[in-house]
Amino acid sequence: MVGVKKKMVTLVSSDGVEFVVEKRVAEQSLFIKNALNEGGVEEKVMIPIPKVTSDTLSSVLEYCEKHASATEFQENEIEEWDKEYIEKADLDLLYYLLQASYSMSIMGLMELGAKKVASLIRGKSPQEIRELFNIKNDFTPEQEEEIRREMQWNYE
Amino acid sequence: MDEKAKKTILAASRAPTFNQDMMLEIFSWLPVKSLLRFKCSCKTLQALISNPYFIHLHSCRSPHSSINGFFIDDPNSSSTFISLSNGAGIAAEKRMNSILHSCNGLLCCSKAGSESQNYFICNPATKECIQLPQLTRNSLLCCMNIAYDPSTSSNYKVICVWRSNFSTALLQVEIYSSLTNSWRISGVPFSAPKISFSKAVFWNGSMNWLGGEGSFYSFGVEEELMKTVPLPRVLSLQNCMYFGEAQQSLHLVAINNHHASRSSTTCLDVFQMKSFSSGWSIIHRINLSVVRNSAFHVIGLVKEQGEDVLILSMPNRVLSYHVKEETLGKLYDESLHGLHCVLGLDSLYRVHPYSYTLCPLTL
Repeated sequence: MVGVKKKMVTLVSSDGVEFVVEKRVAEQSLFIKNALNEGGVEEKVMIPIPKVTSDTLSSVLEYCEKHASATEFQENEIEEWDKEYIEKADLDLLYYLLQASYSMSIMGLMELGAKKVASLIRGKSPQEIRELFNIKNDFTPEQEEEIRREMQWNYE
Repeated sequence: MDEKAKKTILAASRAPTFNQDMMLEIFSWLPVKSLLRFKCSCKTLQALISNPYFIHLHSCRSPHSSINGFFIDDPNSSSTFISLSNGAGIAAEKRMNSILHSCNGLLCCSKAGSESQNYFICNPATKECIQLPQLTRNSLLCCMNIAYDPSTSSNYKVICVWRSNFSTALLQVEIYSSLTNSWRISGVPFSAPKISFSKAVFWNGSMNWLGGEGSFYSFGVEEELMKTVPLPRVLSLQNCMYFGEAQQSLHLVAINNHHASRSSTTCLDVFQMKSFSSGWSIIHRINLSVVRNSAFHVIGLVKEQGEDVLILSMPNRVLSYHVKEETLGKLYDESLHGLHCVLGLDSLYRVHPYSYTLCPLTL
């Protein structure tokens, strides 16, 4: 075979599934990049990714793969790809992607996911926000009324 | 989000809960209007939305948000707010009775005090309002304008110009800084023939006023220097209907008397300047037959999904005109909303574009 042998790493999801990917793809995650730097690059490196299931990890790696080759594409091509990628994620996956990008430190994916969630919730009422984010209303009715009155002009 | 999707999250006890960092990340991409509404969800969110770090992050991420509506100053009653999203006219607070200037979410207002005029800076979105200290001298005031760009700094300045007591032809600039909470004389008296202080536009780090011959006046807030900048060559100042700023560009709208296709139509030229060095270019030539026979004024030029929309005012009505699709929409109708708000042709000077900001007035 001609050419340089590609450096591979193995990522292990929380449910024990192994993903063998190119090092440059895995390094889209700052968490993995730091782990590799600290440990010294071994031939057969295994990195556990706690808290991220195989379903989520496979989607995360799809993103990493595209962005590891970002230089081969026009900027708007990547933008289009991002748009489609996040569009096809259902809400569950979207939530898991956000958590995974946070724990794995993948800034681009975190921004993409956060923007998407923001676009879904921008028109919601305070009560809907509580339901969506599992938040308990810890205001007394009087306090809530006061804030509401204060902000009334902004409700339009 | 549809009902099914919503249920999916609710039903799932496996629905992840987000930690503080991730909430910050998500909420930093929301418009201010949503954030203000979410403030009463719970104490954690209320604290997050008022957090200075969050406010800074948020303004960096939505640095040049488009305007949410207009304040219309009515000397006879309280000011009215006309929202661009649903057109509802809302009577603003009494203390905003006389609005002098508006800039990126902050308003400068005045109120007659017992001995002298008092000036205030208000953030209507957060209901914050502070009184400015007294000016160093009691002279004839020309203008009081806010210079504020949340994407570069959370500090703001107020540019005040007054006429010298020795010669009314001479002007003096005095600057208030929110950092020091004090006024300071800037430079020496100067003359600026024909400068019109009725409308000031803060753009590109400068306060800009029309007037003069073939040029407008521009005061660089950082360098504290007044200069003149050429106007489009074909523009005659008395035909100018609008002077404003949107999406980092300066705009002028003027009636073009030569290009009206029929006598019943009005031809408008829209000029744009992206930077001081780029000069003016004409971006639209609009034949407005749709509002023929009515006296109207252009009070705004805004972007809606990337397309330019002109906001027109007529007595008792505010309309939006979609430039590309050549369609009119009604934003405000006095008979519908029952609010007293008569806009005459002087409306240019009493209309203040407004966009929500979370910026705290004091640090």
